[in-house]
Amino acid sequence: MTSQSWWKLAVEILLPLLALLLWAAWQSGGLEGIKEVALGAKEYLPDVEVGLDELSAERVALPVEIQKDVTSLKETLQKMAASNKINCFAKFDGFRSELGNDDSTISLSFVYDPSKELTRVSVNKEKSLRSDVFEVKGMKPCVIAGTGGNRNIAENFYNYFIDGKLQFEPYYKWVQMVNIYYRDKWNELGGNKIEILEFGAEPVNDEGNNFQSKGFLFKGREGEICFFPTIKGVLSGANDDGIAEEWFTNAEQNSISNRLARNEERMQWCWEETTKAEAIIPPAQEISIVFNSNEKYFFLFNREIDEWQYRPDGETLWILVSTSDSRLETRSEPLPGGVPLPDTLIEIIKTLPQLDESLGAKYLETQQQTADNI
Amino acid sequence: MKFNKKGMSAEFLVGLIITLVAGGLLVWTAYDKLSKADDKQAEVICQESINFRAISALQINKNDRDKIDIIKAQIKSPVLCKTIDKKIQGSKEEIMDQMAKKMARCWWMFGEGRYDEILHSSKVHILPAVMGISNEPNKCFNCYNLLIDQDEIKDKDGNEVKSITTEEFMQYLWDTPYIKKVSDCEGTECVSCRTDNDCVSGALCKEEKCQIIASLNYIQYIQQYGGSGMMVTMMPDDIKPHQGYAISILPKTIEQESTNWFKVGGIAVAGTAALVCTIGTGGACFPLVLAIGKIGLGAAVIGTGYDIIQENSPPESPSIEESGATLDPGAKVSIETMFEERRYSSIYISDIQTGQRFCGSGDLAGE
Repeated sequence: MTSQSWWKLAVEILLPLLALLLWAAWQSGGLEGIKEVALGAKEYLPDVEVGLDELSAERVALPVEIQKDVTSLKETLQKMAASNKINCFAKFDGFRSELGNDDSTISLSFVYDPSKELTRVSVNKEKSLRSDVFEVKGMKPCVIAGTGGNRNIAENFYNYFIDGKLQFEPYYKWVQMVNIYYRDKWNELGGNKIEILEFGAEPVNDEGNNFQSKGFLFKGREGEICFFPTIKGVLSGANDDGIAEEWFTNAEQNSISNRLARNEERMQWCWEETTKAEAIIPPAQEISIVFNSNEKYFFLFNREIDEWQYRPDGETLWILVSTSDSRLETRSEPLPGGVPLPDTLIEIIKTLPQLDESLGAKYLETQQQTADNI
Repeated sequence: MKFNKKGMSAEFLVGLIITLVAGGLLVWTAYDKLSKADDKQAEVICQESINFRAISALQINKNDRDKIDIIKAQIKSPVLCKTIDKKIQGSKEEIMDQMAKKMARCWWMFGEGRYDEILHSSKVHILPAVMGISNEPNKCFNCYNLLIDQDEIKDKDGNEVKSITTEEFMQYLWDTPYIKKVSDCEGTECVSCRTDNDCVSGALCKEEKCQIIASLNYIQYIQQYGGSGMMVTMMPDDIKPHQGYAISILPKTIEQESTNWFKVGGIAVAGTAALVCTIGTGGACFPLVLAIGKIGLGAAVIGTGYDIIQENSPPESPSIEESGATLDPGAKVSIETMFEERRYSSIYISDIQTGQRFCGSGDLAGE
């Protein structure tokens, strides 16, 4: 056999045979170790991509709850500006939830444009992301804080509208610009903050969590619409930083909300029709009742209800409800009066949705305790 | 457009190689032309080079894996952009129009916020797990230097207005439509149709679906067209004749530097005040702290009442405390920090000194 024949034999017979044997061994698992190495090597190949990831954008929109508050604010401001009344009050849904957190905040800027006699309100979602801009024709921003003519403006306002004393000027201050946003731990108080840039370092601007006026706004004499910076502290009345926040709740008998509800002298809404919306009534077991026998007012409080007032008003009865989480408020239609108060109250409570009779029982129990104390 | 090795076929590879070679030739040609290009050509060359960079970037072992990678790399084609110096003239409205258009054009040139780190150069890391990966400094680039080349500014009726306030400019950017965008087919808008008559609420029939065509103003164009974006103004004064302004692009980074602008608070008074105007304040300008620093620029601001403090103020400058300001000591933000803000790709407009100090200018060809 020549060498050429050997080569032919190797190529045509032995090599295919060897390949067949290897294939059979591979398939039968006889070369498992080699197989693992071969397949494993693929994992070590570099991962190659061509092209950069493409990012997409989202519409700059506020969270639903905050958007609802902003819409309420916009409508209220425009309605106030259009109202013919002066020295009157209005209320929007408030910003009762925080506008931000430690990392970012929604912000609202109110800037007066003298050339067009309007206030432009810019709403930013975070940082400089603009969500909306709207204008309030005829509005000049103002605040119930600061000083004027050596007098304390918030004190003047407090004395006249809350304490019923003589009126001293000025009781509000027109400003060029107001900012509202969330600020964490400013003077140990994190929360929604109102800032008046032209006030400088103080007053107002050195306070934290100072916009807790429950959505109350005040209209002055010449188109000024005022915000209420607030201060902390029970029964502290007012100072140049603003008015103590309890005067915007029902906690104080002569609070702005109570005096307005009683239609007291000097107190008027900027329009007769109050905000109407479906009230969200919390479960009965979360409600407790306080009976104030001296003033004959009934207040129902829990941590989620900011205001729920039952008030005898001559021949009519009113219920005012607002909840901190829903930011909704309703005032019932006048109810027929002339019926004994406690029974009427129970009957009314029973008719409210989602409330059960246990509330009535709880009310009676509270009433009994109060009577015993008296 | 993006391809992965798993889907690669021979056909694809050949296509890719042809594309890269053709692109390379184009880049080489464009590189030669860039220095001679007029403004419009330069804008187009820049935009094309960014597009090509985005589709051709080769990313090797982009994501960390369990295995030890020998190499980690991102290889990108050159950016063929140059800072365009432009003199602008006209009425108040015309000046605002030109400035706004240049801001939008800068956004367009750099991919409308669609890409992270589009200005970062190519990187190759051998044994990254062992050698580590060096972080590049933030990159930003001045698309335009604009000079208002006239002695006075008049409104469209010919009345002299002296200057354009930042509020006016911000308002112009918000009020002026720039581009139309077809909404993504979502929710109730996603209704099948054959003609426009089948659609309600102003929607039009596009690709057999009712879609809303929304008009976006300049700010919305930057914020929500393409990728998410942000527009920032840092002008220490009104827009005035003979003043220069820089329009800069700051692309988003993967490792995002994010300035908590609203965490910074407090109002500063006295001292050397500078007028700062920002979009975050509705474009309003107000005096805030500023110790004039070595760069000759004090603070600027963005957001609601926040200060930027020049950190390396010279000794003769009053300190914040001396100037009567009450600031949260943990809440100081420098202009440097603001220019490192990278949660979103951003367009900044600033006075020319600030823009040139913090962002690159000139000819990027070949980088």
